[in-house]
Amino acid sequence: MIRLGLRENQTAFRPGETIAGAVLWEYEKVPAGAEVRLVWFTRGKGTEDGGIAATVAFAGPPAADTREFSFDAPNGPYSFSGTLIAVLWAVEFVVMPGGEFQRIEIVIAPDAQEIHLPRIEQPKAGGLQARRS
Amino acid sequence: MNVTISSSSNSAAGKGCATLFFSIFAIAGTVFLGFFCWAGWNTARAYAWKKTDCVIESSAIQESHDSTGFDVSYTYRFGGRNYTGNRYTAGMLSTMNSASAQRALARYPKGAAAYCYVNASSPAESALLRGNLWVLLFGLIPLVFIAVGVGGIIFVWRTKPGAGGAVSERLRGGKGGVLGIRIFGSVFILVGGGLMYVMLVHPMLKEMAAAKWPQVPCEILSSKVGQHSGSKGGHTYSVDVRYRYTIGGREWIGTNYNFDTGTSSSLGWRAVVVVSLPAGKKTLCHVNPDDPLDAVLSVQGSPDRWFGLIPGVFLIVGLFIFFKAPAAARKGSVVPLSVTATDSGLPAIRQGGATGETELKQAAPPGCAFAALMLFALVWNGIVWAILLSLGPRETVARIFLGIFAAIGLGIAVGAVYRLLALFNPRPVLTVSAPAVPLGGTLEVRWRFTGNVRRIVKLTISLMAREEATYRRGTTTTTDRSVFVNTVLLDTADRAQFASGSVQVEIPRDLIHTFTAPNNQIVWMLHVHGDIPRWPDVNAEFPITVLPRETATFFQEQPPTP
Repeated sequence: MIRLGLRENQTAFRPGETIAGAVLWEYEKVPAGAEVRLVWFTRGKGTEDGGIAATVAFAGPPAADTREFSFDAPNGPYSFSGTLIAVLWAVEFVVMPGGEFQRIEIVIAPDAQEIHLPRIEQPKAGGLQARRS
Repeated sequence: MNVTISSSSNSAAGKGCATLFFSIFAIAGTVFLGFFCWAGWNTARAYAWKKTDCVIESSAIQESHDSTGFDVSYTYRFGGRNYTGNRYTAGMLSTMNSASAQRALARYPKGAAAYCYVNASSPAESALLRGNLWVLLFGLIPLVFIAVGVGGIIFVWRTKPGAGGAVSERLRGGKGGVLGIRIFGSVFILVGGGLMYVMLVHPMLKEMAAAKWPQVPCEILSSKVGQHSGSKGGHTYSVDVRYRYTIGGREWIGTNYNFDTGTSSSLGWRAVVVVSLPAGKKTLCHVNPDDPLDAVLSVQGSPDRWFGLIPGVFLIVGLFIFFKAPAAARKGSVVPLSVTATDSGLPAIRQGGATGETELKQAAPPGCAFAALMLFALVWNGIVWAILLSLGPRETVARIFLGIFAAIGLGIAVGAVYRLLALFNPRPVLTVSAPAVPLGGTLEVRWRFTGNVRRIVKLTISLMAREEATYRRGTTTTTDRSVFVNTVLLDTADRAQFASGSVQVEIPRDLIHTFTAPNNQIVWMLHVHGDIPRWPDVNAEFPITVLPRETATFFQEQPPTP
């Protein structure tokens, strides 16, 4: 049995903010390893991309334990959602072997709100003033 | 979240077609693997047989209308009993032709003492030669087919990313794909390179060597155009010629007209050759001084020779796949111009060199587009017209079918010419006040043109940003684009403004920065469009790097342009 929780159930963060939480696991046998990972990944029409931004590994984990963790929210990529692509962030707690996991999706963006991209078909008229040199 | 996920790429029909496609690979590979296992076992077990003295009782070359064989009979004593054998080889051996049959006859004349290999557990089973074990290496080819077929089916039906399992576990596993992609590319390289060597390179090398061989008198014994059943119901043809010549006081029979191998549907030139070689004609043939059975009548390549270029396409594709494998398999990199990917997959911002004027690079220089289209047009039209011109006069259906491809080739050629004309356009040069700008920041953009800018009648410069999502549908890779910023910075028909100028660009604060992952990108750019009457327009994109807001402190505000 595993559990993952974020401090004060916060799921939206600004870049640089601390993402903190705790994990709990209970097994009959000693697990080979346990890690909390901060990951980003894409979702949408394109083939999935992603990366592991940071990892907190619990070396030599006992059969049952509770641990705390914290990450600094990185500068980017921001959480956003467009017509074709979305970038999501998540905190994952993974126990090996077997890969049992829990995931909490979070938002990392300047105003702690997912950015929504508009869709534009035609150029907007106007623009900024041009001047000859 | 307003992302829409394509349903068509995941449809049952699409998966069914892809499964059928990959099943053909898997089934064909399994059938061939079965054949190689059977033939390999027959070859390998002969290597456990006992080497025994034997005497050749009779040997002769067996000729039929389209094949050559070697009949042999020999006697041997094993376990106190006498046996008679008539098997030349056990297991796999290359196909017997006139030259190899004559070699066998010279090696095993009647009355000669020789060795044969006897199956100790069944002494009546024996052979003079054992097959080549290295031929078993070809058994790797069906394994690759099986891997492609089974791997493809697994890929088609695997769980959609994001539907289950830890994301971080998938990302960790994604780095092992380079080897698989390189193996896949190697198949194309081996097949394309091998066929190109056999069909083009080897015959040319042999011709160069044969040009120095002595020419000896020879007499044509027979000649005809051989007709063979083609795989698609038609016929293929060959020059079937036999001639005799004398080397070292011994008479030899040659059957090679030139060094080209195989048959084709080209009848015309073969008929001309056969007419020029009537039975009884005395002529000269080129004979290898080191091997009197290596002889040809002609050291000129046939018109079919250039079919050997077709496997070159497979070779190029294979090399491309092989060397692009690391990029294709890379996961988690985020690489805008002044942003590099860390090992963890996050962008890291380079702080050095973050200020100063920078000349932007065009996304797709017109010369590259022309070269790519021209190369494609040459390959496409070369292949189509080579096949079209080799067709016989009665192959009307094939001509009509290939006519469609020829029309497409014409369209590609027209496109190449269009790109060629665009090379003579005036070219925009854009300079920005900093190599990267944060969201909400301001960028000074200067433009100028090289070439005759007076040909332009209307000039538009826009700030654009778009999403680019690359995905696979079946066996094709597609990129969809969606524009989310398109702001016109300059739109003028005043020719006095065309030659040079500058604009201030304010990057919206509440949007997304440049993002470059292998399959998903956010691209910011400056787009220049110059309208030229009755000529390809100036159409150029210059990517710029837009950074997250938090990096704003890395950039100093640029002094205003006087």
